[in-house]
Amino acid sequence: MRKLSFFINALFNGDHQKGTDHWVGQRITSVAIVPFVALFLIFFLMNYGSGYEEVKNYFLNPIINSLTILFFVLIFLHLKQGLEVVIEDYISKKLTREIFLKANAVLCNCMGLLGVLALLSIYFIG
Amino acid sequence: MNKHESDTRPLSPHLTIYRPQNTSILSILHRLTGIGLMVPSMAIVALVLTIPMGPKYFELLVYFFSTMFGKFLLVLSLWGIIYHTLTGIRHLVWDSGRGIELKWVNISSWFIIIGSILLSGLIVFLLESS
Ligand code: HEM
Repeated sequence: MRKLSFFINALFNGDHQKGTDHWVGQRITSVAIVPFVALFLIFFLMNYGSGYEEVKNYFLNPIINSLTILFFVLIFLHLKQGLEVVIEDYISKKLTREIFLKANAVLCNCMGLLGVLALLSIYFIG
Repeated sequence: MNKHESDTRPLSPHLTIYRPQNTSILSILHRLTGIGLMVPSMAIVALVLTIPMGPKYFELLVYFFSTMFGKFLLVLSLWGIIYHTLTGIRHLVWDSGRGIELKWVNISSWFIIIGSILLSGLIVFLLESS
């Protein structure tokens, strides 16, 4: 149980009392993102220049669709974690820093959510 | 936040008195590419969003990326993701306690600089000639 809560905290918590959890969370998304980036580059380059229908059919494939959902979740988690470190390095005024951290979390989560919803709507609504 | 923590802690590293070396340049580029990759990340979400919105919006986005500026962004993003991936993997290797001797840092630095330029150049060439 303690392990599970550590894992969840490492990935999703925006509260920076826990530096080690954050560091571990960054390592998790960094390792997990590598095969996705490699796959993405290959698929993007293979399909570069495709038209609307082709791209749509492509995302109608359930495997591609769900892999892309995972990819979006990972990218925006990793981006959020990365920008948190950058914000903490450069903004020393506490209140400003906290505002930036919140804005960052909201924006990154929204972008990820938007991408996931778009993919789900292609698949289930068309 | 601890009570004794002041609002005006000094920042590190002290850039004004720091001599640039290949280690520091690669390190700051890892940060810059990480931040910059926000742009292609949002572009991919935008691309996926245009599919349920309809062909008109899809064509508009494709048109944008066929302009000079759009192509410039594509090439920069391609190099950025390759570079950030290579330095990112190197970070993970370092975290496992390996490759931190100065000799290996220098060798991997050159490998990353040359490798990222060659690989993205090759991909752009293949795309343009296909
Ligand atoms: C294969 C892909 C990737 C790998 C292996 C990777 C790896 C890493 C690692 C290990 C760090 C921590 C560096 C440190 O401790 O100083 C990091 C930071 C970061 N990454 Fe990535 N990353 C990848 C893709 C991405 C993508 C796609 C984005 C953008 C959405 C991104 C954005 C960032 C940002 C903003 C930082 C913070 C930079 C800093 O703290 O200096 N990364 N990455």
